[in-house]
Amino acid sequence: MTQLLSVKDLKVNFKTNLGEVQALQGVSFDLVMGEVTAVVGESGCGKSVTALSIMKLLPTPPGCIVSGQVIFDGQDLLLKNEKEMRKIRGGSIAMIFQETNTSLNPTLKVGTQIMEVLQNHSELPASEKKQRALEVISMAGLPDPEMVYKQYPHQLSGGMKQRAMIAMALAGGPRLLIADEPTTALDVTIQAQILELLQELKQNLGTSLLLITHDLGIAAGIASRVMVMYAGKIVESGTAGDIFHDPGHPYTRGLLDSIPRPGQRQKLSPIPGRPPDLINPPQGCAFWPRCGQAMLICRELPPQATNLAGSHQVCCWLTHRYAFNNY
Amino acid sequence: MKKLVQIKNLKKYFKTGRRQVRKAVNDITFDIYRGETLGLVGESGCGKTTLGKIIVRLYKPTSGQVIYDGIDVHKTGSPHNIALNKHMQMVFQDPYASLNPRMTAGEIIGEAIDIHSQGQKGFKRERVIELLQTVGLHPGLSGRYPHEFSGGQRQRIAIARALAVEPDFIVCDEPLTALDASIQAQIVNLLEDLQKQKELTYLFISHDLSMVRHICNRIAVMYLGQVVELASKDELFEHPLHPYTQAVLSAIPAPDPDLETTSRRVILPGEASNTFKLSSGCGFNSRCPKAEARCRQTAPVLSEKGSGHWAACHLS
Repeated sequence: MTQLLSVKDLKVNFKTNLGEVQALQGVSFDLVMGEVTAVVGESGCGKSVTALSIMKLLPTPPGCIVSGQVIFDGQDLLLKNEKEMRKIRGGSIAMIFQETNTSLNPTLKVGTQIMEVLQNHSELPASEKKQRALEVISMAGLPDPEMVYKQYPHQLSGGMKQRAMIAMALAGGPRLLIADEPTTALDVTIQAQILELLQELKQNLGTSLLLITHDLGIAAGIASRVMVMYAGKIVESGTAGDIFHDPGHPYTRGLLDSIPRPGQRQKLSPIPGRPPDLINPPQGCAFWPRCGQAMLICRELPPQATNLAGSHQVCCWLTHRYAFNNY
Repeated sequence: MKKLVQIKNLKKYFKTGRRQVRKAVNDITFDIYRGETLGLVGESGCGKTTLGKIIVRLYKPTSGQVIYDGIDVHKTGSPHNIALNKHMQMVFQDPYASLNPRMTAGEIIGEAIDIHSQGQKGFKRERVIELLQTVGLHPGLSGRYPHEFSGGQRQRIAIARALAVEPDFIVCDEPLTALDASIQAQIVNLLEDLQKQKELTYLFISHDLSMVRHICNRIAVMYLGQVVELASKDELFEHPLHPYTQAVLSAIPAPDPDLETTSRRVILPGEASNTFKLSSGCGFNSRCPKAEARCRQTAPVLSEKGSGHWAACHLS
């Protein structure tokens, strides 16, 4: 269990005309080498902002990292300048995005885009670079690498574009791959292919994966650790078993109850209301206005993370050791 | 059960180039019964939305018929034309695109009433308030514009607009896709409650099979412009006959890590070829793990394999 990346008390704000949006309000977590960690949550909860902050890709302004640390290899990435970050991005940490159409350059051939990565991050002699590019293309499961190398993104289908993006990410030999909703735009059969590919890569190359998704089913299928985010905070984290079999936070339970389960035909019980406005987040726990078990203290003081069994952490007053009614 | 909508040999070809034709809907025949929720699932580009739009007359079919309660809806010069819109409505996928940003919620809903109720002024105001309440929105919000609402609230407005003319049949075209999980459940429950109250019939288009399983009575699976399997929900999930259905069902991610690791996924090779150049034989043969020689030669027809269970496959 070696730590690969550790995020400490990350706070991020966005300046808007209406006020400052507190997108991340103190996010801390560790990623373990060779593991798949999933970040789940609804849109706007800060999943993507977390990933972008790790990569220092936040658009600033309007974004602004207020405080916190991102420790990778013993160094704080947030203190690095743009030139140093460019060495890391695409090298030891790579990222793939949801929208292949906007993240691949439509005017360059796939091969050229992969070679770009190799030119910046690889020590290989120039003669071997093309060989390496073809290698990563076939690692990403694309048929006929020579052909794909010469094609433009628009000549590929949606699933193939996502594979091309994965090939680009692999070219730098990353130790951490951040995947931001990599299958959201894909059909379910193609999604199954891409998830299988990511799992193979983790096994064969030992790459750690930080997977951002809104789909609890995907998280359950691929991740060994799961973090649940709500309104800019991690409200619960633990092994996939902890989260899906023994959820501790009312929000996690609410989410699981609001998706249909195979073989059960009861009425769904949605979480009432909607996520809070992060310009004026509620005092206390951000979830209390929607929580069926909210107590007086929930409205006044934000809960601290409590450790349940093992690495299972829940950020809720109900799990506090002095709480009257243990969840 | 009584047939409400009959779809007969429906075809819709789009001309996309000088010699290119896209066969978006390619000879589809099935019935929708009164009071049921029929799920229509399939990959993007398989023709689900096109089919839905033909049924509510947003598209004209290339050939074939849609018969609503005995009336051929596409017959030109039919005196029922406007009246038919009162019976059939549609709720669209993207609530950010399907509501006019320059009209208030009240105007959006009221417009439908204006067209169909021939000017009873006081009536309209009351009706808008009633509709807003029906879909779970506060009547005080009727003066707000779409951008002031969240995604879930907008979808409620779109549903209220569809309900304004008191339809019997609503085509729901991926009404949940743009929404978050906790909000999806709210809208699903709303649709289910409305169906009970108003005896609605739904055609529920979706790519989310777990949701379709939850809400629908029968499910039709589409692939490349054709219905490849049609059965009751339980029958389809327990005994899928078509290899495509089998693969799709196995690929649904389940929110349970134990189920996920033990169940074996069928991973299909390749992707759906586009509907421009359909090869002879079954459209699925290039990806099918069980394809035989005859699958490449003749296309299978949708036929009843068991009571109420239809499939288009040589092997089942």
